[in-house]
Formats: sequence, C-alpha cells, structure tokens
Amino acid sequence: MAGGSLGAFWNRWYERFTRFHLRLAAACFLAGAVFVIAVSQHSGASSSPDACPGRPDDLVIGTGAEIGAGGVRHDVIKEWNDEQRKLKKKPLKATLVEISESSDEQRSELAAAAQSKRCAYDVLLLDVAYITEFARTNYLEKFELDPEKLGGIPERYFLRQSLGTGQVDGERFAVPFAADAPLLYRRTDVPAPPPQDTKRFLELAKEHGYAAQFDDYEGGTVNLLEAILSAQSQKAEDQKAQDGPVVVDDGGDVVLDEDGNGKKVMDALGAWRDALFTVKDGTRTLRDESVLREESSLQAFRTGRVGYMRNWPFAFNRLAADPLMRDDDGTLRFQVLSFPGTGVLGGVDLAIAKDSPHKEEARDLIYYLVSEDVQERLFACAGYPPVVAALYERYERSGTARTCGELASEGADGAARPAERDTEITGGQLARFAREVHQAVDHARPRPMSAYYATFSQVFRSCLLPVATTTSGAAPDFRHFSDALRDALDGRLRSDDPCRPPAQAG
Amino acid sequence: MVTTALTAAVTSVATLVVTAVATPFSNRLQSLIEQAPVTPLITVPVSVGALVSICCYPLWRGKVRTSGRWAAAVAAVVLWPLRRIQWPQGLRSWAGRMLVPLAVGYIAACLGAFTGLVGLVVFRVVAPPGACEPPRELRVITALENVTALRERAEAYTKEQRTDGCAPVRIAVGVAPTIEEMRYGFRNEWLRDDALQNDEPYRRMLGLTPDAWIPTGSAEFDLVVQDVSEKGGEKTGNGGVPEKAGSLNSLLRKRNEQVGTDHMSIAVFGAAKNDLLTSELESAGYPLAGIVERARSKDMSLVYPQPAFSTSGAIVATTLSRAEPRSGDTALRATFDNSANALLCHLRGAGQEAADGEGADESRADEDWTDEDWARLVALVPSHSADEYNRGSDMGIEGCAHNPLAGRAALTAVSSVDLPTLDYPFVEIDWSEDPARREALDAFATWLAHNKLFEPAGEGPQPSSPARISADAARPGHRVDLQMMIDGSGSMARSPTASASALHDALAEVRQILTDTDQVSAGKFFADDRGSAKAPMAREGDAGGGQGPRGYGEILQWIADDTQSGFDEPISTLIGGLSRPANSLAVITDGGPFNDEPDHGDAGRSIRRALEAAADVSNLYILTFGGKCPDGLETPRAVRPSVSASPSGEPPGSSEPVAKHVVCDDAAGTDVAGALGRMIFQFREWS
Repeated sequence: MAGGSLGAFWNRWYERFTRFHLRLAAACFLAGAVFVIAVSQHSGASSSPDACPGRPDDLVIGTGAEIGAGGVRHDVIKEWNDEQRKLKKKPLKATLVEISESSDEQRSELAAAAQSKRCAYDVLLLDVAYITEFARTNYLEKFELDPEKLGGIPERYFLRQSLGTGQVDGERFAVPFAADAPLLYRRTDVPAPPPQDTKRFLELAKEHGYAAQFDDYEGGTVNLLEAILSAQSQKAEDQKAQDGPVVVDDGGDVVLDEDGNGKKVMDALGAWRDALFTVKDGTRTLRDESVLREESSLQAFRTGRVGYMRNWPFAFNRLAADPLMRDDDGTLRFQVLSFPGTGVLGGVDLAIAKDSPHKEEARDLIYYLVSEDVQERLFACAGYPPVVAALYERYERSGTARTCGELASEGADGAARPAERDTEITGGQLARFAREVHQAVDHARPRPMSAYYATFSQVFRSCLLPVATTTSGAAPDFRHFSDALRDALDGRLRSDDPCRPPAQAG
Repeated sequence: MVTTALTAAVTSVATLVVTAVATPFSNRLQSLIEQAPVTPLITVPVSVGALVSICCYPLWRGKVRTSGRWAAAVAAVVLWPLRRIQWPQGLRSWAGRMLVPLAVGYIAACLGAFTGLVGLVVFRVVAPPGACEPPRELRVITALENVTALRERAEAYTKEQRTDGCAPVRIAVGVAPTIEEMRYGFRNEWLRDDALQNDEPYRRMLGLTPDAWIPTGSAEFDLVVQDVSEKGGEKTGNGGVPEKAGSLNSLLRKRNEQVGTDHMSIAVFGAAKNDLLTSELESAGYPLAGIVERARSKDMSLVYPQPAFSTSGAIVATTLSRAEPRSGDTALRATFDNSANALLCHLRGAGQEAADGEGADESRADEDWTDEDWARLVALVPSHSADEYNRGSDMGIEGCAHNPLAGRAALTAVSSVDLPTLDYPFVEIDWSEDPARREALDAFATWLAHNKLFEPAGEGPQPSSPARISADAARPGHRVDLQMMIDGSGSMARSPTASASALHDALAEVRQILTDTDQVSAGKFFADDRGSAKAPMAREGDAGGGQGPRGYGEILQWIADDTQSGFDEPISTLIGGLSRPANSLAVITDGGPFNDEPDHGDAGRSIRRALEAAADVSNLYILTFGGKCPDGLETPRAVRPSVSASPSGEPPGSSEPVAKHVVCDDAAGTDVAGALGRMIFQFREWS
C-alpha cells in the first residue's frame, strides 16, 4: 500500500519533470557542492578585525625585553610619540610591550595572542626564525613596501639577505628591523691570532679556548648548522668548486640522505668535536665553555676563560662598554671578526598583526623604525646591526662614521650628552664593527623556512648534538633521520626514535 | 558447524583487513569530522528550506499535503497571522508553478552539498598528509622548582594527544612571578608594576600570560586572589597605573582536583646526615624545634629560599613564625635565592668545589670555606627539589646541570611533623573567554590530575597540615636605612646593562622586598670637568611626593629622568664627602671609578680606609656592572653555614673585631634586579 502511494508520488513528479527541471537540478547540485567546499576552505580564516572589545587605543608593539641596549629603543619610540603629537590632533601613542627575555616565550605569547583574537598587538617584533610560521598561519598582514616612503627601491634600501627574511611563499609579510649574523670575538690580550679559515680556526680554538653554544636549545641547532655549513664552505674553498647543500636545499627539501651527505655531516661535526673537547690524563672531556649559551659565553670571554667566542653582534656593545675589556688608553681588548666559515642568518623583523585595528598607523611606525636616522641611532648607541645598506656604506668609508655622542650633539638637546667620552665607542671601532657585521650577514645562510621550524630544530638537535658534544655520539641512520626531519618540517613528530643507528634500521 | 566456523574465520580476517586498511585514515577522519564546519553546513540548508516553506506554504494551500497531524498543527500555529489573507489568484498560480522548480532546486542543492562534503572528506583522507594544523598555544606557569616536572608532563601529554604525528596543542611552560607580582599582574593585564611609568612608551609583562597556573599550594592561590584593599601600608603605591581592585573570581578558576602532592622537607647532605638526623629525632617525627636545636649544637645552618621571592620560602617562613623560633637565630636563615632550586644550585656549587678540591672560583672566593662547611648547610625545600638535585638535572637554571649524586654529596630529604604538605591545584585563567582554549585546558588538567607532577614519598613521617602563607612572614624583618649612590659618569650613562632606564625598571622590580619601615634615598656621584665632586640626592619625600610609598616612586623617576653626567669620581671621595650618609651605603657603578682611586694599585685599601673614617656609614655594598672588583674587597656570600654568618661576618677565631662591612659584587650579567635584590638582602643581614 505504502509502496503503491510512493510510486504514485514519484510518477506524478516524473511526469512534471522537464528538461528545464533537469538543468535546474544540475545547477543547484553544483552550487551546493561549491558552497560546501568554499565553507570548508574558509572555516579557519580569522574573524573580522573590528571585534576588539576593551582594547586600549594605543599602537601596541609586542617585543622581547630590551637587554643590554641602554633603553635606546624606548627613546626612539618616545620620539615617535612626540612627533605624532606635533603632527596629529589625536595621535595614537605607540607603546612597547616587552614580553620576555626568552625568544621561545615571545613566540608563544604572540601566537597565543593571535589565536585568541584579542587584538593585543598591532606591530610584532619577531625573530626571523618564526616569520614563516606566523605568515602561513595567517597571523600577519601582508606588507607591500612603498619605494616612495623608503626613498628607494627596497632591494637597494635594505641588505639583500635581511630583506629576504620577511618574504614567505613569494609574498612579503615582514620588514627587516635588525640584522644578525654570528661574529667571532677574539681577545687581543692573549696570543690568539685571527684565523684565516675554518680549519685553522679549529686548531686555534683548541689551543686558546672557544666559547660556543652547543647547549640543548635553539642556539645549539644554529651552532650545529654553522659547523656543517662551514665545513662545506671550507671544502668548496679547498677544491675551488661549489658543493651542494647537505642538510636542506634551497627549495626546503631535506637532502641529508642523498649523495653521501650523512658522511659529510659526520666529518664536519667530528672536526668541531675535536675543538670542543680537551684531553686530560689521556681522557677526553668536553670543555665547559663548549656548551654555553649566549650570555654565559659572553661572561666566559670577558673574564678571560677563553681566547675566542662565537656570538651575535649584541655582544660588541656590551663588551665595548665594559671597562674590563678596555686598556687604560681606551683601546679595546678584543677584536671582532666575521665568523670563520658560514654563519646562520638571524635578525628581527617588524610585521603587522592580522587583527590589528590600526594597520595604517602601524605601517607608518614601521617605516619610521626602518628609517636611516633611527637605524643609525640604534646602531651607534645600542649596537643594533642596521638593515639599511646605505648605513654600511657610510660607516665603512673612512671618517664618515658618527658616534652616539656625535649623533646626540647633532640633535636639538645637547645638554643630555654625557661629559665623559673616554669609554665611548669611537667612529673607527664602529666602522670596523659595521664592516664585519656586513660581511657576516652577506655570507650567512637562512634557516630552513617552515611553519614548523621549531619542530625541525628539536629533531635535528636531538640527533646531532650528541655527535658533536659526546665521545659516544654515533651516526644516526640518515635515511630514517631524514624522513623524521621531513615530517618535522610538516609539524609531525614520529613516535619512533629518529636517531636510531643504521644497524637497527629495518 | 564447519560453515559457522568458516564464516567466523572469514569475518574475523575481513574485519582485521578492513581495520588495518582503515586505521591510518580513521584518525584523520576523526580529526576532519571534528574540524568540519558543521554549524553552517546544517543551519544554512535547513533555514533556507524552512524559510521558503513557511513563506510559500499559504500560497500552496491545497497543492501540497501536510503529512501528519503535528506538522499540520505546527503550520497552523506558524501561519496563524496569515490565515485571513486572501492571496491574489495570480500570485497563487505563480507560486504553484514555482513549487516544483523550487523543490527540485532545493533537493539538488542539498544533494550537491552532501556529495561535496563526502568528496572533500574522501579526498582529504586518501590524499597524502600535508602539514599539520597549527596547534593551539597554551601557556602554563608554575614556580621554578616545578618547571622541569611540568615540562616533562606537558611533553608527555602532547605526545599522547598526537594524531598522525600532529600535536593539537603546544604547551609553553613559564616561571611564575612572585606572589606580590601576581597580585598586581592578574588585576592589570599581566603587566609589571613599574612605578611611575607616566608617559614612558613601554610596559613590561610578567613573562608568559598564563592560561593556567599551578600554585605550590592552595594557600598561594588564596593569597593572590585576596582583595587588594587588604594590602594597605606596603611600599607598593603606584602613581602610573591604578590597580583594579576587587575579586578575581571571574578571571581565575581553581579546579577541585590536585595535580601534584608533595611536602616541605629537611634536606641534608649525606656527609652530615648522621650528625643531624638522629634516631631520637626520627622517632619523634623530626620536630622542627629538635632539628633546630640539634643543628645549633652541631654548628649547622638551616637555610631556605627568600620568602619575598619564593613561595616555598614563604611557606617555611610562615611555618617557622608559627613555631616561634628564637629571634635572630643564626641556625635558621633565609637566603637571597629566589627559588628552592636556586638555593640547591648554590649548594651544589659549593659542594662541587669542595669535592673537586679545586677551591672556590672567583665568584665564590671565600678563603674560609673549608671542605666540610658545605655539608653543614641543611635546606628546607620541597622534597621533589632534593630528588631533582640528586638526579643531576639542571633544575631549570642555566649551568646547573651535574652528574647524578650519591653518598656524601647527595641530599637526603626527610619530612617533619611540623613541615606542611603541598597540594598543587590547577587554576585556569580566562583572559579571552575562548571556549576552545578552556576545553583544551580542561583536558590537560584532567590528564594531569591522573598523571600527577609529584607523588607523595614514602620515607619519614607523613605530614598532614596544609601549607599556609602569611603575608607578614613573607616580609623581611630587619629594617634597612639605605642610601644608593649611582655612578653618574658618562660611561655609566652609556652602560648597556645598568643605564638609568634599566636601573629604574630593576628598582621598581625589587620594591616588593622593601617594606614601609625601610628608608631609601638615592643620589648620583660624579666629578665635573674641573674635578669637583658632585652628588645630587633624592630622598623619600624630597621630590614632593611626601613620605612613604609615593616617595620611592619619585626616587625612581628621578633616577630615570636625571641626565646629568660627568667624569668618574673615586668611591673613597664619595664616602668622605657625603653630608647626610645613611647607615647602609650602596654604590652602583660600571667599575670606572676604581681606576681613579688615589691608590690606583690598591683601590680596595683606599675604599676601606674611607669607610673606616666615615663615622655614620657601617655597611658598604659596591655593585659593579662591568669592570672588576678591586683586590682586597670580598665578594658577597651566597650561602654560608651559621658559623660564618655571624653578625660580624668574620671567620671564627678572628681575633680582630670588624665593626664595618664592605663587599663588592661583580654583577656582570643582565639581571640587574637580581643583583639589587642580593644587595638589599645582604644589607638586611647586616642590619
């Protein structure tokens, strides 16, 4: 009975079904499918940036704590606020919110703020290692650089390497603020000569002591990468031929398991291991100075425990201002050299938060912070390596470098200038520093670009740090290790041991 | 029978095969279903269909039949307002013609949507996995001594939650600030209380903004959420940002379950274990009074972390204050360490030096530190901290890692009937009212309650009294009359670590260890271009702020604002030239003035001589950021046994009594607040 009435129902419908109905059905079917796909694709997109309840009307800059820079960054922001007050009736006050000294905590805080969509920050001062992650997870606004505002095309205005750090998947999300690349610091009051190449440097390091950062943190990954990259550049120099990448190629693919790259890595780390260990009564022990971090390295160097130190440019300002590192006549007791080998590119970029309600003002502030005047002041007074190419040209030319005192006296308020000048960093010292930083940045290589760089770094370090810092560190099965690194670049951590030796590989 | 068995076998094999094939996809499918935009996919078609039906139903009366009584009833109710409307015949006729196309279109669109959804799911499940979805960031804070355990648990939890290798959450573990800082921070967007911030273009956060906080005990939570109005009379007034008074109940939610259980313990080195932990005391449950008495008789010291900085220290101080120990008992002392781990790390340094037989390094160059002195220190710390120490972990402090310890160098931790238990509640903090974040936190808290940070140890008497913290006990006792003289030379003004701005921030940070009975003044010292000594001063009340809390803020502002600078002036000249010196004099410098002392080769002697000649100054603490302390000036002591912590500060047996104290601290790092805290702590000990 029911079957009969249902059949009659469908018959009635079928009789009324025309070609028009068929076309209509097809069109609606397609529309329905497209709707679903579109909704699925955009369900993760951020909500409207207008929803920022309770947000103070400030231009908020999220950043790490300013350590060892004497408050120059605060002064620069203060001047921006003064300038805005003169220019506008109701200016937004720019405020630096200093999150933490730890780069990991800064990242976590900024990412959590972006996820919670509280519009907590307008401008982010981000370590270049995290730009890819923040851009791909849609936390950052795209940033088209305006040549007019820069006074030249970006490729000429900025250092080439630094400019590249803000570019992700062909689009710009961040603008370089401070360049960074490793430098070699050498004490001049001990017989530790400047090394000519990596090979010679490792011999000298063994002899005079070397403060390195092979501890289990991001710095450890960077030191490992530098050891590997430096061995390659040394080999290329010896053989007068360019060698291919051994860890990650330019396209971001892991190549550790190709063409004997695993052996090259082991050889490179083996050479560095020799310099990191000392032999006492026939026993090889790891030097305490080999597994430090940036700050503890600086202390080991200034107290004379080592003759050499690998560190970032921030250490120059700290050491140069330290009476312990100066002779009676004011001469520095140390020398800065570009890293003997290939360094890893660091730095800090400026970006606009996706949910910022003040994007235009944020853009203006960024242009101000990368202007030549501000960059020069940050360099001369606080040791921030500039990202503006013209500044390096000026400082490297003899006699044109301006010291912090000279910059201050050129300003309107000369009264605030300190009277005592014998410990001020001179133009000559700044010129030499600028030259070495420039060279270091030019020769540095970026870290692998991935939204999951932190995961990659963790896996990479977990297998290779023991190779460099222990006598028992065995080579991992590079095929298996490479697969684990590929997964890590996608954010995946394997449940099995990525460092298992070849014998156990199945 | 055979058929049944065969069928069962085939079914089992088939099930196994299907499960094996489907397993790699099932997790991803589950994740996809969880992430699917269910709400729009259901609500949009249903609401479109309902809207069209409702609107057109009156026009279709007689053309469509309502199946079922309830549907008819619903239609009658919904369309009741329209029942009397006489629709034009043309409209009804048009609507009738549209009925079939609309129905066809709607059904086709729904089918299309369903097909699209299935296709999408199939594509995503079958296609090779791409990058993981970004994990949800969770930030959890706890006291430094719990950080290592919490990090391990967070890692284990994240690992357990992984789907196809992808973690749904990333948990950052940070160190919780002090109780006093949290009281302010929770009410002020987790920003530091930088006194008289005024127009400064920067604010400093108290580290990670926590989504959750694991206090050491419920007492810590209670103290933090206590109404701000009860906090009168402290040196915490703030002219810049007003504190938001009132309850924190809507922001902080303490869950019922505990995520750890531990107790405060008496941790004694193996080398001195038998001296202190006698069988009589053991049978009595190691009562504190007995332990203190025994320690005194054996020339031992019981030390605990600084109560103003450490919750463990505050718990010990509260317990001791309730037990009414003898006032000024040198066998019981708070150190300046900001955590139990920092205290143990200091002990390790001392113990290792003795064990290595290499003597002290420069920073701990105490000539009278004998091989066995380190063993005479007994720490009052949570028992898990002593375990962590013995395991050789770095205890969350850079450079503190060591080999696992056993025997004489290892700590034995015993509980006491007088020392309290520590419960570890889980407190959720709802800054953003984000349900997804809250859900993730709930899941982690539930997991943590089953996989506790610490489990109770079996050894010794089992204490049962819960930890208590009294705000008064956490405050230091001895009043300090402190005069801070800051090097006003040009080089100091350029100091990257101790600039005026850095000093301002650091002094604001250490304000929590000053009380309203302390007297603080500050000044700068330098020589002008003619060599004349200058020492402009600001005292509490001098700068127009009046006595008390505001005065301290005004001093900070004066330090930050004063841009005068000149040339290095010798410290001995400064001491001799002070017109109204305080009993305790702190000199903060970049080390330059040491080179200008009259006796350049022996700056230490010049300074000592000047101090001896200054009748009103009893204590001198030189804090140098850069440079090197001159020979002849001792470095401040980290932790010492009672015998060396005598008021004179001199080693036992010293025949020459020394009435004045002088030390020089080479604080070369960037922790200016820590160095200032040590300094104030030292003055309190001397006072």
